[in-house]
Amino acid sequence: MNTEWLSINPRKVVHETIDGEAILIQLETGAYYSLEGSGPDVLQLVDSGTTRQDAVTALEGRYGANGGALATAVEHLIDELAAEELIEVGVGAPDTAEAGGAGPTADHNGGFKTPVLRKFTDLQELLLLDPIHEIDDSGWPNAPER
Amino acid sequence: MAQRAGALASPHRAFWDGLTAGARRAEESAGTDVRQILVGDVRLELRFAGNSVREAIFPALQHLERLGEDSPAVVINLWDSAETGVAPPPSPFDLSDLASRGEMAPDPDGPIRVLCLPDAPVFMAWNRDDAEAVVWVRDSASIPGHELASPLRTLLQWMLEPLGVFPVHAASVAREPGGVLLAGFSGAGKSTTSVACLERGFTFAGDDYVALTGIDAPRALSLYSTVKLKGHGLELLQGVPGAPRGKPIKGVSKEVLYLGEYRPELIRADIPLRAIVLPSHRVATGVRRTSPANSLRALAAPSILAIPQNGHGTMRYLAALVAALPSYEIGLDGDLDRVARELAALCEGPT
Repeated sequence: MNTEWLSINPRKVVHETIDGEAILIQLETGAYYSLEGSGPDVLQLVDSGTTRQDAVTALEGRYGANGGALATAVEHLIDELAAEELIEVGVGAPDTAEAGGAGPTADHNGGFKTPVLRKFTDLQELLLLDPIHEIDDSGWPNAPER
Repeated sequence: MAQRAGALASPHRAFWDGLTAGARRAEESAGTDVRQILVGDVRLELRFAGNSVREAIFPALQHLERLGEDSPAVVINLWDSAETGVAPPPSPFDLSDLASRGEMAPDPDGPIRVLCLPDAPVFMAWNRDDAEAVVWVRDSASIPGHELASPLRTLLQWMLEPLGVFPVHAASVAREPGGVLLAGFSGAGKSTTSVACLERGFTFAGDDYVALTGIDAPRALSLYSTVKLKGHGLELLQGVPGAPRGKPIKGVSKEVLYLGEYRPELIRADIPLRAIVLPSHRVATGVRRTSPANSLRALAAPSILAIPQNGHGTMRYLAALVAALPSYEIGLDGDLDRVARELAALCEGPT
């Protein structure tokens, strides 16, 4: 089975976590997100460079396997993050030499909490306005020299 | 991207050289008007070739004008073709190079970035290595309304962030000794709250965009003297004896009031921040604590998405800011006297 490497492309995604909630902004689509529960733990693992399996293993080691519920929830979140282009999934060797360094550092006293990803699209219009179609022929300076 | 035959320089460099050479010729043709403004501790020099561009955009910045001996941190050269008679350089870019948010052929790692407002047209170029910018517009009469009300916003972002000053989409009002940052998306009530406070003894650093700096002692810095109003906010203002009407500006759905012309004493260039407040028409009257994550979302998303930038510096700064200051939400449904009293308590209270 191929290894699936997970990463965050800093040219596409900006994120910070505060008080157990991660805020993510997808710069290309204009959508932004709130990630709660144990989702920020997953995000931190991905940001450090990890594989899909290692992410599950790391969280099971911290919280317990929980009869497979944890693995299912983490796998679902990874798929969701990938579908929203918040993380990238690569097959084979990672791009970076070192990966999977840092583990979750959040407060784990409450045990594993099902990750909840909320998506906001009300600002997409800031990106998706297409000025090219709003200009006429006179709206461009001198043509390039040929 | 169109490539000129025989050109060795990058398209960005070639265009930069053409724009700066044009600016020099425009100054020779129409004369130079040099103004300096202070954003916090950062001195910026604006060199206008001729008068028309200055007359169009400087009213929104004039409240920041400060003469001084210090060398400017950055220089912005501004010129047009209509008044100076100097043609712009050939563009090495095609329309297909125009990316989202107006950046031409984005090269975030290069020293030169180019912004285009194609419907005017306006080109703005920033050279990080030289700490210098050039703005060219074909005719000052065609500058988009948003650039009249909030000029040079993207350039200011590119210039100020490396200096630890972060322009953001937010308002700030103050009572001695401190003030609050009003964060929220368009329509949340930042301008309405700002106007309600202005008429109740507050001062103001901006109703839509301010710059932030510092973490241990965070401050909101004024960028623009304009207030953009419509609906309830405009009715509030028109109900004040002696208040002028806002100016309708093409392309801006709100009326724009130049507060610097009306009540310059109400503008405060530098406000020590005591709290972050999220105004909302959707929550009940009253002030209550909210999470730092709510503040981060309300500040970061509209600030970062509105301007071509990588966003990481602004995001890190804002995360530290919301961790350092208490966050509240305040309901705007009804009694604006109460809103002003509650905000005054936050401004005047202990840090």
